[in-house]
Amino acid sequence: MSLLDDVKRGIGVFYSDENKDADVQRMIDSATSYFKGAGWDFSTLLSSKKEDETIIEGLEADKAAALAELEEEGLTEEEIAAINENIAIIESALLAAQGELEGIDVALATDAIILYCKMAQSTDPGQLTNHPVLISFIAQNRTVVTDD
Amino acid sequence: MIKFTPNTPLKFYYKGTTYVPGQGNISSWIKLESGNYDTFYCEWKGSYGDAVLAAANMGVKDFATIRTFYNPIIYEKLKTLAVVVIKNADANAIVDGEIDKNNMNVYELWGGIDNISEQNQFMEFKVRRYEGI
Repeated sequence: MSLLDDVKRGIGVFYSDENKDADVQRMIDSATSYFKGAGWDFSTLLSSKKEDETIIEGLEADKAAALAELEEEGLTEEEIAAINENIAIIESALLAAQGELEGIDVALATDAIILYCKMAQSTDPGQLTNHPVLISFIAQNRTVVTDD
Repeated sequence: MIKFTPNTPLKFYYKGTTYVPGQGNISSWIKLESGNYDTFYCEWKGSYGDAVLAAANMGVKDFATIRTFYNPIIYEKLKTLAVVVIKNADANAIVDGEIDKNNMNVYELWGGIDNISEQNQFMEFKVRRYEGI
C-alpha cells in the first residue's frame, strides 16, 4: 500500500476524494520536511513508497519477459548474452528500488507522519504543539553529527 | 478533537431498490463499500442502567451509541436509506440476501446521525436492535 493509503487509514479517512487526498498529501510532505529539519530524513520513503509498487511490478514484469525470451529456440550466442545483460540490469534496478527503503524504519516513520497529521488536521492551533512522542521519535532517529 | 478507540468492526447494508418493468420495485440489501473498504471500525458503547429503562419506555430493548470516522458514503446512506448495521462484521447476519433477525449482531439506525460539529471528521449515531422493517 502506498504511503498515502497508510496515512489515510491512520487518520480515519476510508474514502477517496481528490481534495481530501491532496490535503493529506500536503500534510505528509509537511511532516517529512519537519522531521528532516530535525535531523531525521526519510524523504526517500516518500518517493519510494509512492512509486515502489508500480516500479517493482514493472521491473518484475520486464524480468519475466526477458526470461521468457531466453527460452525461445534458435537464439544466437550474442542474443543470449544481450538478454542476460538486460536481466542483470533489471535485477540491480530492482535491488535499488527495494534497497531505497533500507535504513529507514518504515513503520516508525509512517507512525510519526500519522501523529503529525492527527495534530495538523485539527482546527485548534493549540493541538499542533511539541508533542512529547514526536520529540522522542526525533531523538531516537535523528542523525547526529559529531565534532571531531 | 474527540477521542475514541475504534475497535469494533462494522459492516453496513443499505436497502437498494431497482425498478423491473412488469414487476415493479424490487428491493435488496446491498453491502456498502467505500473504495477498497467494506469493514469500518467504530467505538461501540452499549447500553445499561437508567438509559435502558428510559429506552424501554419507548419500546427499545437493546441500543448502542456508535462513534466512528466520517465517511461521506456511509453518512449519505444512513441519512437517506434504510440501513442495517452489522456489529463485529458478523458473516452470518445476512444469509442469501435475507437478514437473520435472530442474529444478535444486527442493528438498525435509531434516531439521527451527527456529523460532529459538521467538521467531516467524526460521526455519532445510535442504533437499536433490528426487528424487521
